[in-house]
Amino acid sequence: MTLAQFLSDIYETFTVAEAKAEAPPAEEKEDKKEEEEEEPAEEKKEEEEEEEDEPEDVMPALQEECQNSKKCAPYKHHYDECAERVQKWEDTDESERQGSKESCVEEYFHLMHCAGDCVAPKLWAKLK
Amino acid sequence: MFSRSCLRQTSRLSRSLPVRQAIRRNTTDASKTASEASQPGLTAAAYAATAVAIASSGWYFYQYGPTVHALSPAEEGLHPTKYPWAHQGFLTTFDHQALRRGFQVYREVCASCHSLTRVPWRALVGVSHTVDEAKAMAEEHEYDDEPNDEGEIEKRPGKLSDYIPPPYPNDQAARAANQGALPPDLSLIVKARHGGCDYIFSLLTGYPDEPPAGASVQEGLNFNPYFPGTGIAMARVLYDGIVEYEDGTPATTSQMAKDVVEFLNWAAEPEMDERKKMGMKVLAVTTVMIALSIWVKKYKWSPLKTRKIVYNPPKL
Repeated sequence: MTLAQFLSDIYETFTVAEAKAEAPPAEEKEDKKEEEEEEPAEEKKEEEEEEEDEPEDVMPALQEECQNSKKCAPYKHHYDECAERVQKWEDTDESERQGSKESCVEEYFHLMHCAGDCVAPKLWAKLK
Repeated sequence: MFSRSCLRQTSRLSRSLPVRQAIRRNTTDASKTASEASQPGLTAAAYAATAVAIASSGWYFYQYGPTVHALSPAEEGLHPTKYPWAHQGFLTTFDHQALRRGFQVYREVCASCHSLTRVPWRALVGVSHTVDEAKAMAEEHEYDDEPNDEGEIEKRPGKLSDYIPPPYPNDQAARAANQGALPPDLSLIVKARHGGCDYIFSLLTGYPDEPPAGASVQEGLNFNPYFPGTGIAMARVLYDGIVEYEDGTPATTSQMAKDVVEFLNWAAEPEMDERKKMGMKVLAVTTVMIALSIWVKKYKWSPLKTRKIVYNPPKL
């Protein structure tokens, strides 16, 4: 928490922000007109956004980026290697297989743990 | 150490003797012979003691040193990532816009399986919705009325004081509808799980496109690294655009997860905003009291602190 944020929090704590449980009364026509004038422009923007396509999540892209980052490279390497071993094991005939089937869950955990730490701040910066 | 203390003793001995120079050679010779005689045994004892010490501590660490895990990592589940939640600061409140969006996600997505039995409609008033909105939502549901004159219980539309209705009448019905898996009540889920908000966010967004190589997923379960045991009965439910937010926020998976988790955190501790405000008040009052008490102390002690005791000896 930065000092500025801390101070602004204190300010907000001691000042009273009016919270209304009721919807604002319909009397305030003048304000509404002003709002209406502003709104159409915003609505247009929103419509444009909607028209474009379904919203796309930033998280998978961030995860991909983080998994391939330098910090997570060893984990990615271990996981890929493990996946390769498993693939190899599955490809060989049942009679020639050596040992039991391997699971890459632990390698996956390490990779996701590393990627998660990297994704968290970046994701929060982009979400509302 | 031992030999040095021997020497010290001998030197003290020599100093106490009257004729130092002459006897010094003799005494040193004598001490040398004495230490030579006693040392083999002592050295052996020292080595033996050291060996026993190392062995016993080694044995101890062999017995108790390594941490024993009752569960394999997969069984324990991946620990959730720590996310910088805005409402988890010392003085920060919930983002009430997010609460409103989160309630929408709960209502449109989660509520088909999960109950929220401890939250009444009235709790939403002034938090995420206005009175009229909350009333309208309550009226969409039917509740048992008081018995009428014939003793029959009729239905009536919901009121603000009613609780959000569960999707299933009881746990058995919930299990039967979900292949034996009971969707937990979400009222206190943030407090009821290790990792709280982080865990639920990770769980909701953590479904991989396909399970990692070699992972075994039971029939009817889905792979989720964050769920203990990795096999979770709930399938991924949050997909991009499944909800349309009224404030125009793009309803991506992570955005919805963030909003709904914040809403569930509010459901679990609706007093949080008030609690933090109260904490701030306590701090403010305490600082005033401390300042006052210091000034009062200064005032009360001033006669004592400023007095001067003077002794004028009588002139002889």
